[in-house]
Formats: sequence, C-alpha cells, structure tokens
Amino acid sequence: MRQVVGIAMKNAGYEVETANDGQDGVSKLGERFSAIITDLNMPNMNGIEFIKAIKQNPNNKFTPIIMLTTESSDEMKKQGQQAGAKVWMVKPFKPAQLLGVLQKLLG
Amino acid sequence: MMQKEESMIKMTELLRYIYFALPIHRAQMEAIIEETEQNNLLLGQNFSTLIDEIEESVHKSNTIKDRLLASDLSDEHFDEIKLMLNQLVDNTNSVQSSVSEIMVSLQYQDATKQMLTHIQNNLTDMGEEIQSLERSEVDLNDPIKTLLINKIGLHYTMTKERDIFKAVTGFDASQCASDKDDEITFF
Repeated sequence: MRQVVGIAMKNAGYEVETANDGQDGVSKLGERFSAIITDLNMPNMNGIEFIKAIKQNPNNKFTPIIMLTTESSDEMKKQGQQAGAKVWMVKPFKPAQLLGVLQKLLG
Repeated sequence: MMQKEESMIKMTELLRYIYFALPIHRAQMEAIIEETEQNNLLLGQNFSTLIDEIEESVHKSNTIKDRLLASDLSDEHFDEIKLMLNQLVDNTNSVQSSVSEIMVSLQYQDATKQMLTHIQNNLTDMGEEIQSLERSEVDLNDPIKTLLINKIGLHYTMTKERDIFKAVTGFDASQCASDKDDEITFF
C-alpha cells in the first residue's frame, strides 16, 4: 500500500519518506513533514497510537494527518478525529483523490 | 425421555465438532491472508521496479532529445528522430500510467485481509460461546437478533461486510455505522 501511495506522491512531484509501520514512523519524526499519511491497521503500533505520537512530537505537532484505511465505522472515525487526524479516507482510493485531498490540506 | 437424552447427546457432539472445527477454519483463513499478502507484496515490488525502469526510459529518451537539439543534424532527420522520441515518451508514459492503475487495484488485498480477520475473530468468539454454553453460562433465551448483532454485526467495520450480514440475516449490523465506503471525511 505504501508503495502505491509513494509512487502516486512521487509522480505528483512530492518528496516522499516511507515507514514500515507506526513504530518505524515514530523513529522518523526527527524530520519535519508537510503532511503524514497513515494506515490504521499496522503491526507493532496502530494508526491511532501513531497519530497520538505525532501530536506529541514538537517537529510535527501541527502536521496534517490523513488516515487511509479500509475501516469506515463512525466509531473508528471518531477515535481518529480525537487522536488528531485531519482527514479520514476509505480504501480503495484513487491516487487523484489522495492528491486532491493533500493539495486541499496544504493549501 | 430416551429421545430427549439422545438428542442432547447429538447436540453435544455437534457442539464439540464445531468447537474443534473452528480453529481449523481460522488457520486456513490465516494461511489465505498470509499467501495473498506475500503475493501482493511481491506483485507490488515487481510493478514498482517496472515503474522505476519506465521512468528511467523516459529520462533517457528526454536526454537523447536534448542532445539532438544541440546537434547539427539535417532538419529532415532531426524532425523524424524527434517525432519518434516524442512517441516513445508518450508510450512509456502511457505504460507507466497503466502499471500505476494495476498497483491501485492491488488494494483488494487490504479489504480481503480485513474481511477474513473479522471472520477469524468471530470464529474465535463462537468457540468461546460454545465453551460457555457447555458450562451453561449463556442465556439461551437471548433473542437471536441481539446475539447475531452483538456477536457478529458490531465487529464489522466495512460497508461490504455489513451489507453481506444484512443480506443473510435481514438485520442491520450496526445503526451507527457509515453507509458509504468511498467517502473522504474532513475533520
């Protein structure tokens, strides 16, 4: 999945950094990102925990986060919103959709 | 009396059969998830390599075009080669776009895994239910609708799963669930 997202973003001209899971993502938060796209169901650390970790990171406290997931229940969305996600996007997605959302977030 | 005892024995045998069959089905599903995941990953890697190679071809074609622009070929030859190169760039871009589309369609594995995981979890719950039924801890008068919704329906997080649940049982899996999968929600 992250390959698909990575390719879509790179093709659109964005510089992309990928992580294997939430834990790996946290280890890369030393850098400041313009936007972060995460899945919900990941090994080691799920998407909600990852978002909470991002929100505690001084470099990326205000970085907009897109949750890209197969989950579509309102309960999960609420959890995502409370954790600090800016957008909830249900898979399968089309790269153009994701790019549109990203452009909207980044102004 | 004999008939009732016999049917109780049959029921117990049936429950035991289900109880022992459940882990087998769970393991089979786990194997399906693992196999599709591995193949999906491999396909993704192959397509990713292909896209990188195509990108390199586009880059090389553009380099050749730039060099031609700086050379002193006759106008006729120059235009002919330029046209061929432009066509090559168009073709490779088109192939790259097709491969990207294929990669997008590989997302099916995510949905498949999600659905199978929910079935697996439910099979585990059923096993626990059977165990507690044998210990008579389950209220047998609990209406089947409540039981089905609480034990199965509420665990579904995908619209497709809830639709299948409704088609089979006639009950809504979850009243608070969203009814569209293809949505983008801005908070």
